[in-house]
Amino acid sequence: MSEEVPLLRVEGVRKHFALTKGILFTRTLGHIKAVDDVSFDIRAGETLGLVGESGCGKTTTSRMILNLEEPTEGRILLEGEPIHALRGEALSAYRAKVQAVFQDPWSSLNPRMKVGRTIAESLIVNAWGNRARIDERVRELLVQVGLRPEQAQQYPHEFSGGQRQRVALAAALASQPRLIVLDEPVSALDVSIRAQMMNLLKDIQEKDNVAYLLVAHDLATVRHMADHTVVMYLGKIVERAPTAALFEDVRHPYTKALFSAVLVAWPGQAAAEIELKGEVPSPLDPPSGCRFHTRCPNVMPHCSQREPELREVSSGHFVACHLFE
Amino acid sequence: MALAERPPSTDAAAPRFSLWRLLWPMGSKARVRRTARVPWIPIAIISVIVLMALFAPLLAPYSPIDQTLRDKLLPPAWMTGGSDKYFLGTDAFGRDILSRLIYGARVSLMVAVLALTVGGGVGLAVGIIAGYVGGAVDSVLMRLVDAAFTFPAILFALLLSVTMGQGLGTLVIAITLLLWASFARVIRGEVLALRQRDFVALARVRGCSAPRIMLTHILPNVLNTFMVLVTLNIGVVIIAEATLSFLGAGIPPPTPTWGLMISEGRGRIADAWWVALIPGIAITLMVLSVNLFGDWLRDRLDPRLRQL
Amino acid sequence: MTPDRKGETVLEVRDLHTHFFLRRGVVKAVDGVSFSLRRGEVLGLVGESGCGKSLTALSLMRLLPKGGAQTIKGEVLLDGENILERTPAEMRQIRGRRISMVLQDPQTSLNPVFTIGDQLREAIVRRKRAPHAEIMKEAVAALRRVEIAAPEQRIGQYPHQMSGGMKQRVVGAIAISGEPGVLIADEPTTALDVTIQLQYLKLLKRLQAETGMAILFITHDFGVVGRMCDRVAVMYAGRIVECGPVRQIFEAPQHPYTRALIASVPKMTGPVGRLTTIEGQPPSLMDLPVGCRFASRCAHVEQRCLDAYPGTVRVGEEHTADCWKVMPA
Repeated sequence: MSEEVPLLRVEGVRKHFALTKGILFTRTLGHIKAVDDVSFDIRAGETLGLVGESGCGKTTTSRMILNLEEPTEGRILLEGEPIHALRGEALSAYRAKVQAVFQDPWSSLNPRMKVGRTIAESLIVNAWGNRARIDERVRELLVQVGLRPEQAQQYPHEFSGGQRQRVALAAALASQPRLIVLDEPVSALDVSIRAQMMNLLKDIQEKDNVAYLLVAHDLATVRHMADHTVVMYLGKIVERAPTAALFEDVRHPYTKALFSAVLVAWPGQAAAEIELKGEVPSPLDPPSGCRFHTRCPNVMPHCSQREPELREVSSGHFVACHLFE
Repeated sequence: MALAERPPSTDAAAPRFSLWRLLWPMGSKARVRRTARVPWIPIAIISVIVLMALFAPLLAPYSPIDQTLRDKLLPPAWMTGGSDKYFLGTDAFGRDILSRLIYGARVSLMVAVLALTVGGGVGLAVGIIAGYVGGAVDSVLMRLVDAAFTFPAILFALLLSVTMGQGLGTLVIAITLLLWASFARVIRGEVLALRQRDFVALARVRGCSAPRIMLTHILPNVLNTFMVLVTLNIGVVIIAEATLSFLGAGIPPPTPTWGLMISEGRGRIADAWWVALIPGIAITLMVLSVNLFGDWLRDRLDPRLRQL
Repeated sequence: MTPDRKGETVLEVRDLHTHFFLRRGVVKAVDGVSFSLRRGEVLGLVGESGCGKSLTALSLMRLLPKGGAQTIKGEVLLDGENILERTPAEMRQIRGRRISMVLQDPQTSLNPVFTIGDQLREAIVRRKRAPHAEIMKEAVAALRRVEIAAPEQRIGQYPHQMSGGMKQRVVGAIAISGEPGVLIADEPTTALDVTIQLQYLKLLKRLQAETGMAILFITHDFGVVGRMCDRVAVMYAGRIVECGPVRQIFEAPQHPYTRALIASVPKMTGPVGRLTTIEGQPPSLMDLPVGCRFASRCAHVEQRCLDAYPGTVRVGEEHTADCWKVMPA
């Protein structure tokens, strides 16, 4: 995308999970192609939205970026350095630079740990400072996410869902990361709380220049948060563009269907509605050629034979579809 | 909303295990849950037995070992022929049954505490490691657990007492071998579920090492289950000790233990039934009480363990 | 459906109070809810978590959760008959046949150890006695009605062999198998993907057009409301604060809470900027203020808002709001 080295580069990454049977004499029944040849960049201080329905591989991609999963093929580079080769000190340094906030506020915090301790954890394991300095930093972080400093002494069950998500964000911010993976950070929250959280995330980005990878299924959330948007379907990128350009001019038939399925709050405002027939096919045995051809309203004969390449249709706007060749 | 409305099921429990908070739910703020009534009678029985064991030298009227042969086989005080001197009667050597019962509680509880600490501790560690590390480590450890279940523990204890000699150490080792596997299996199941929770993945993202995660994130979250298992197994241990002592593989005479007392009285069950029956009643009461207490504790702390 | 019956009230709820009686106090989760539901219409019940919308639904079904919940006041008139006065046995006859329910999570709504056919059959057998073959035929028809492909094969399958969207269709088939006049749908699409959600909503609409049933659609998503509902009732802290036709609520919301809630939803069009938020927390349901329940978070609060609860004010045709500010002077 750009000449400079991006903060994070995902290069031709694949993740195949082997489906096996038996313990001693394992037999491989097949491979689930959760992520299949995915590439994108995230630049410092910007937000990349990763959109798709369940099973499209967006969560697996984010877990590989967090170094919780190893890619089967391909590389992920942070500031030019491949992350899956990192060990020891270098890995710790990477952990400090890339943090995460997950969807479920009820599962993100250890119920038996005071929230202050959770927030301090990355500082403690990296021997960031003495106890007093860490306590001071925890208080600072709590204030930054809109909580009170003395709440450090409370346990997660004393917090509401929205407050827990703020605590999770404070914990992610503790080590002053360059990138935070936000996996559906607001979808479990109530409407009014959701808006507060989104505003908070934007404020923090403005102040700290941290980059976000926003994994989401809600297009309106992505529109408000992301600078670039990547749309995935069955482990593949189908469309990638600057968010404003994408929302102005949707190209890929799948993205179009996704947009039309978003229920616009204003009655009668919805564009021409495209109802996709059937369900997403199994990633164990994905369709040949273009993976969307089984449900595509614009399907052509050669769609099932040849896989479409991701090609640029206008400046920065990439689409993987035979309609644009 | 999907997740925000989910009741905070396990998290609603007290942040730390606290017996006090359990017994006085009214005292702690905002923690009222509908639950079975506090089992006061079992708690009272357990307390009496524990106090008996702690203060045995002060409470026991006589020495538990000294023999007074002319007072042998006296029935309890309320029966014809009974003497006011010996409230629960005497055994074949003229030893006071009440005193032996009081001292016997000491041995039973000592064995229970040691065996549960060692056996439970091993099971806890194995369960956490197998569940968290997974893979080959898990397979090997769990095959060991399976093997331990097929092991004839009583036979092994008899063998052990022959080779190592009778005594507290032998007894504790034997009971430990009987216990650890069931602890390991339950704890592992719990850890497998915990490992899926997001806070464990987030701990990795924050840079925590595997041992650190096991100690600070997994262990505190399985302690409730562990406490429940401990209480539910007190009964098992007391019976195991009694069985082994009865079979002559436990504590050697003349040290009084409840199992040994039954063993010594069994030959005269027809004419002096109290010698065997009184310790039998003590074992029944103790085991029943700890089980009722354990049931309640389980409902209170860990409703998911109902099937145990 | 005879056309003249459309628009006739099938369900009327009057001043419903369902409280939780706990040792530490009374949680007034549903505290004076009134609304009516007409044949062939979809009424949306919107609100944030803890506002009492799901408990309202359970009160209508008389399936209150264990743990001290009790309906202490009010009437639920189903075809003019107060079902709160029916015995539990009579209630079992009413549930499924006259009023039915679909829940949020298709995963837990079906029993994993029985086949889809078994679970459908159970619903059909409750209603009528017939030879097995006939009942199975009806079960297949029920699946076909919810647009499940190859229903003859699906009928022998277990829930785990189906996707979430398909399971939710089966749940729907079971719920409407007794031809109920009223269907309560409690966030039925929240667990589904957007494209599957659209399919499901369209299906519900089609089924409604066929049967003329009235739907009470509980949701937190204004997008779903806009797509599905004819009228919408907004709930806050145990009460309905505004109720009216969807278009009016969206275009001219009268209650400050409704206005703030709609403004805080991220939009698909228009400028991208900071979102409007509602500061503060809803009041504790154990300790409700005497005045307006939204007063502590309202931007237009006045003394009278704190002193007394505003009555329900008619602000337009079929449009009501509980707010002092809309009261004609």
